[in-house]
Amino acid sequence: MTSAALQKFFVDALGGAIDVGLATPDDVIKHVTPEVLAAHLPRPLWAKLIAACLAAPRTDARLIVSTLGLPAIAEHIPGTIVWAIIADVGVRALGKGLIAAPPPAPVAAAKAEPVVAKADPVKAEPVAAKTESVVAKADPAKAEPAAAKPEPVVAKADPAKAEPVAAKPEPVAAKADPAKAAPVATKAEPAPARAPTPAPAAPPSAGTAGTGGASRPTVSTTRLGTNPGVATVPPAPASAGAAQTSSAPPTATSNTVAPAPGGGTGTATVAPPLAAMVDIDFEDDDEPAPLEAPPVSPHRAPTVPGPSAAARGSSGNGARASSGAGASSRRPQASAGPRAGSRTTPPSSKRAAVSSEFDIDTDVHAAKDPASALAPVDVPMDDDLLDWPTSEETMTSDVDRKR
Amino acid sequence: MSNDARQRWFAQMMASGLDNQIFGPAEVLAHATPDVLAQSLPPELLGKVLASSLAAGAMTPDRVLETVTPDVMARHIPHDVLWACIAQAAQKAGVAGGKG
Repeated sequence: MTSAALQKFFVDALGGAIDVGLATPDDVIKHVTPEVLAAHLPRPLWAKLIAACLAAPRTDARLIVSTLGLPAIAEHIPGTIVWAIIADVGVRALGKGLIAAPPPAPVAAAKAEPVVAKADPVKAEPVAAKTESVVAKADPAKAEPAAAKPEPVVAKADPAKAEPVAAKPEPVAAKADPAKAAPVATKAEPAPARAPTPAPAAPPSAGTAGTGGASRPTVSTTRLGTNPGVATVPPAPASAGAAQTSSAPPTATSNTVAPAPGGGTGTATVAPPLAAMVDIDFEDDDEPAPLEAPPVSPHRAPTVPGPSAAARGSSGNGARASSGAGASSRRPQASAGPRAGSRTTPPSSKRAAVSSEFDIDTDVHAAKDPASALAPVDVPMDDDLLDWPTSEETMTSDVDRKR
Repeated sequence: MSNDARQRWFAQMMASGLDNQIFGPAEVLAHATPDVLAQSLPPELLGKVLASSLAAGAMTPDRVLETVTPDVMARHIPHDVLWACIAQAAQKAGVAGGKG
């Protein structure tokens, strides 16, 4: 292609852009600066330009472009500069069209922040540059460029850049301010620190109780594991759960939490209450002991072996002590809780009669001896084929009768 | 800027580029590939392109552009595709300093 063809193309492209309103004379003067004109414009054209400026009440970009004419500009100004004008217009035109298209860019808050930071400088610089040039050239032109200026701001960047920049700010605004985003992150991380607080701790404790059958075992294991980072997190919730159930234990657990996290904030917050509760240490040491506690209550062992284990699993953490819902509802005795005497007295005699499901086994054994005559010992082969309805019923009935 | 203005400008640039041989039909079709054409052009235009090619006995870029005029291109083909064609021509001409 010849330079003439290229020049003609430039004229067509620039002229068309100005004609349709995609470009303004300011866009031309932004690249074809007075310095550029000084370097490339021939003297006759300078004379013509100066005369026009002198004759006109105002000197602005439009006057310059109209006086010189696009063909002269395309002819005397380097093609790279003229192309830069066209490229700006093209990027702007495409950028605006693409800005609407790529909104589906839900970027993380972390990414959004830097994007915004970039966008601001982009806007600030070009705008400032434009205002300078425009002001220098002519004030009247402000009205027109004013409409066009905001667009060039976006167009400044390459098309590819302009798109994301335009699209990202939206998600940023929609998601949250940087201030909000930061808290979210902190919340997630300092979770261990939060553990002492009752609300967050409650759910995790329930989870642990469900798994281990008792939250305390889990706590003890974590302590033994002594994984500063990992171990500390699980114990915290579990401890918190225990704390809720019984007022004293929580403090102990909090002690354990404090050293483990190593996080300054979490430990600091937890420390004060712990310090007040010195007894907690004692109980902390006893934490493993609580495991033994269930067996310690021997009354149950004989009478209620199965149910006690089940109750531990369900209520776990000693929740039963505070107000075990399930257990208490089933057995009014358990709901009474603190009553020590009631347990000791009735279990032996009454439980056999009162307890229906699990006690049956024990009762059966007990009943076997006296009712050995009834025991179908002669039918070992029928052990598997025991006629439960008949045998059990008869046995229980026998027991009841005896009692 | 309105889409109509952009459309007219792109049509003008494509026409000028072709007229001034800044780029040729082959270069246009290098960007406006068959896939792009097939997805962008309305069925009746696709039919026209095929009909003209059948009548001439061959489908050439020049023949395609007889039907797919700059106006049609600006109206139906994504402008970023057209811009890529223009920008590449500017680069070939040595006037594009990496922009576009």
